[in-house]
Amino acid sequence: MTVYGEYMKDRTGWFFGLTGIQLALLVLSGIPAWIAVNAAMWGWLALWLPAWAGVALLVVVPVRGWSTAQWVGVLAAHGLGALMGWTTWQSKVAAGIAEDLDQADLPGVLAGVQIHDGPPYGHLLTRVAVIQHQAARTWAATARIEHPGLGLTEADTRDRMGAGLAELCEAATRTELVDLVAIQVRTVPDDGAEREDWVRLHRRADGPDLARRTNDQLSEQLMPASVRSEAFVSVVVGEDRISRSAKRAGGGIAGRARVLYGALSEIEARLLGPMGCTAVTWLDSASLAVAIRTGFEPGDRALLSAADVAARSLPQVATGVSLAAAGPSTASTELRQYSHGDWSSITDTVLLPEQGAVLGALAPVLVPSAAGERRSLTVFFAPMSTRSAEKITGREEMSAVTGAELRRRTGRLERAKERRTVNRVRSTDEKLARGRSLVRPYAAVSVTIPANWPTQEFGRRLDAAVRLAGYVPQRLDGAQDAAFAAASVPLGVGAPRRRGRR
Amino acid sequence: MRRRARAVFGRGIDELLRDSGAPVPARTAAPPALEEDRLFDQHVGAHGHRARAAGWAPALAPFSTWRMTSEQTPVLWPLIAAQGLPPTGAQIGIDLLSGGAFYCDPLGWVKDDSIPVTNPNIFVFGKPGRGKSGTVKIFCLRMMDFGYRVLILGDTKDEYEPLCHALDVEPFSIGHGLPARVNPLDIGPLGNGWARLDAAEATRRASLVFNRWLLLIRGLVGSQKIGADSVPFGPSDETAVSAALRALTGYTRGATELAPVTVPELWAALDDPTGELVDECRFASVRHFQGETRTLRDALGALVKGHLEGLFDAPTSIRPDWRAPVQSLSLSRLEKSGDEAVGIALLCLNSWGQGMREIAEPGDVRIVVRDETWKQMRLGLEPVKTLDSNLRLSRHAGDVQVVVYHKPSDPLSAGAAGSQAVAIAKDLLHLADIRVLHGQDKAVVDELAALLGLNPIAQQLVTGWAMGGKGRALWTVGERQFKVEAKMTPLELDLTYTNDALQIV
Repeated sequence: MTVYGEYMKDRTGWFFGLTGIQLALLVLSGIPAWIAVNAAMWGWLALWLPAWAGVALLVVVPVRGWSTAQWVGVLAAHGLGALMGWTTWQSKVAAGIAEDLDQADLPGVLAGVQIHDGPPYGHLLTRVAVIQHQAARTWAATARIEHPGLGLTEADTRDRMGAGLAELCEAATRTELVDLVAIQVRTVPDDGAEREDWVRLHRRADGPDLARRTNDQLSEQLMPASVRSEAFVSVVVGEDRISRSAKRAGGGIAGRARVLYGALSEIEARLLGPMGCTAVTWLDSASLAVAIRTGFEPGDRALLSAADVAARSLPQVATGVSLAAAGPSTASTELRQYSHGDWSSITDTVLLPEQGAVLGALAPVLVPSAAGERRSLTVFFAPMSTRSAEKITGREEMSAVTGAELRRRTGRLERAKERRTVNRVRSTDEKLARGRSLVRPYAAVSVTIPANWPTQEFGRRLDAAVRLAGYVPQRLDGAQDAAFAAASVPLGVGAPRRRGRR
Repeated sequence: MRRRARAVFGRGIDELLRDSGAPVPARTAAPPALEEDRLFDQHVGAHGHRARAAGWAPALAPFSTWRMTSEQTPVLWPLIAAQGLPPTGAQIGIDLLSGGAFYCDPLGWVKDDSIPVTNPNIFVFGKPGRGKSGTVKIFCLRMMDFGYRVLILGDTKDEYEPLCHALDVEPFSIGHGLPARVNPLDIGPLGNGWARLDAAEATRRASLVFNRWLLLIRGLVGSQKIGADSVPFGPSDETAVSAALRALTGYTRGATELAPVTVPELWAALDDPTGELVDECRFASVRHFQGETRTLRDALGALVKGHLEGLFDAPTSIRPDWRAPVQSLSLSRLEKSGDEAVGIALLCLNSWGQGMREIAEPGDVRIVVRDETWKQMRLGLEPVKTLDSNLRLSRHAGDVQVVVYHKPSDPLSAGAAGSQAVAIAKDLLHLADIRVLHGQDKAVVDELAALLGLNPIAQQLVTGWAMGGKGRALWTVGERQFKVEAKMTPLELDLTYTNDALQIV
């Protein structure tokens, strides 16, 4: 089986991995040292140097994703948020002040989300829900997908599926529109709503009592232990990429939707073709509202299904959920967990293993450790434009070659690690020349459990599952609410979008 | 003044066109200017609103972001779990690949276009003691809740007896010295109200009855051996048997009711043919007829005086209650007579069972269990053809046929390698889109690959994991595969405890 292992951390900083602020802090904290040198005050310099190193350590070395200095900021923000009451949430519907029930009302990083009905799409003329994100300036659409899973598929079938994912990323690059493709999988406890409905319709009154008792006993015993999975794909397009084409397509939201649809059909073709999906259904706003609601409140699925069933015979039964009520009724952000409605969640991001991994290695992450627990995994694939990819690779190649030359001139021995880096950069360049694209992926995994369960214990089990899969978990403490939104709500909202960074 | 001016200048263009019935289209209002710059007019920060109870996010998540070329992205492949089959039919257990409950609904699957199943036949394979009968029993019992009735055509080890007793049904025992008789040449419900049928319907029904009988006689004759080969059953034999059956029932004479026929009566008719029969079969004389049908008559005679004696040679004496949830015909008393005797008995019962199901009431869906089918398959080509025909008709009859084998190569024992019997037997395997593979020894790995087309991972599962516990099986539904662990309720454990108790939930 193919092992995928050629990747590197995508440094977010622009100067040796440092961000502008980090660099400025380092330079500023170094000023006393330069002054001491200038004034030849060597004693002061000796005193200041350890202090400078301490500052560097605080500013540069990350602990759980953030440097100590950043942690101070996060803690301060949490403290301030809690003090001012900003970090708690009550939906407008719960507060009784909702004006427009067709407008999404979501907490935190999702606050900027607006959902519009797009023009008819595809042969079924679905009015795809066009997701606008005010803060990130993006447009997106989400589809529910069905995939037969890996099951007992052989190595070559898996390789074909993997090649399909690669093709999807390349297609996303070629559209020159797509900012992000997010694939979300949720493993949810089976509430048995569909089964109950089927049994109700098909059970015979004159059937043997023994059979009836057996089936009842069975569903009572087995149902709580079984799970079902659902998968979504979200395609996100940036306003800066779409606006020009959108004007030509009629402008406004409809124009943007039309251009977005072009990207959707490109992605859909790859999902259905080489990736092996059996169905791709772009969600309209009603279905999207249900997907959001069950993201926040997994237990509501049974109620919504029961209403759908009842509506078949009683048309007056209200089904679905309005967009305004799709979010949680209440929520509160804590440092180490996120509470939403009757549920709590803990979210990790995933560090890839040094030695690489095979396709499907993430399987243990999606297996709940106890009946009633929900696991969700979202993988974000951010394709880079060809120009950016070439620029980055060119720069890296140049630096690798210069380094190698420098080592040769100075008579230093080239170590295996350095040789590997040079080879990797060259191979990336080769691949790009052959039509591959450069992608920045990241993943978020989340566990959701009823609020009265020991949340940290389930967080630990999630960490253990990630480690069992061969990956390294990194708890997203301090940003559990934002992380949960990325991992469990299929709106394509992930890491903050950096404009012009494609 | 205006009026006057009008008079001077006449009608305007608009007025002129309106008067002539072709008004100028009214100018539509210009579409409102697109407010592109107002699409992002809400001032929401990346952290959300900074207000009381607005759920402000104190920090944005520091995701660990990676960089790689597109072909390396499968390192984060998320679509792992399979989406299960719809929750219809009998709940069997848990599909360990997806963690979901596993349900079996053969007729429902046939009707559902999204599931690649075209017939409701189930083939169950498994080494003895791996939970084959247990799985079949729990499937049958659970389906009874949804109106399915069960017919066990040949319970060779009385395994289904506790189930029948639990449902207050007494199984029929067939064996030497027992009063129960089953006439495989029973006309069955097709003969009901024969006098009132119109000509077309009578012809249709007659063709169904005679074809089934002919197939049975073919099977019975073909089960006899001359050396290593089966007794041949050629076109002349077919003509003779067909003509004799038609004459015996009175169909040739246009009788108002079809008379019951038994195998000994058929043998007697062939052994001492009437002039009409000889003429109809275009033989020159009785002697010529007897000479040409000697092998056929001797084969039938051996059956009448051999294995069939006292079992399938008299009119049917049992009256099964077709409304009962289960009916079972036990052959356990025949076990001592050897596999061949059981095989022939199964052949007769299958034909009789098919006859009984030829006119099923709408909604009368039945699960027909054929246990130990390998014994029937060993009898040669003709018995294989009979089973083949039964299975092909299952979709038409709305029955779920459950065939139990030990291993995939069981059907191949029908004949020598490369023979027609083996070819048909192999095809038979493809007549079932639903296959349940319980544990098998490693020795049959090649058969799993060659006959059932299982890939190495699935083979490993059957020879490894499935051997680790009763009730564990690989279910193949069309092209899809499920790793299923059957679960039993305490109620069912009691029913199947005899020798096939699975595990307690």
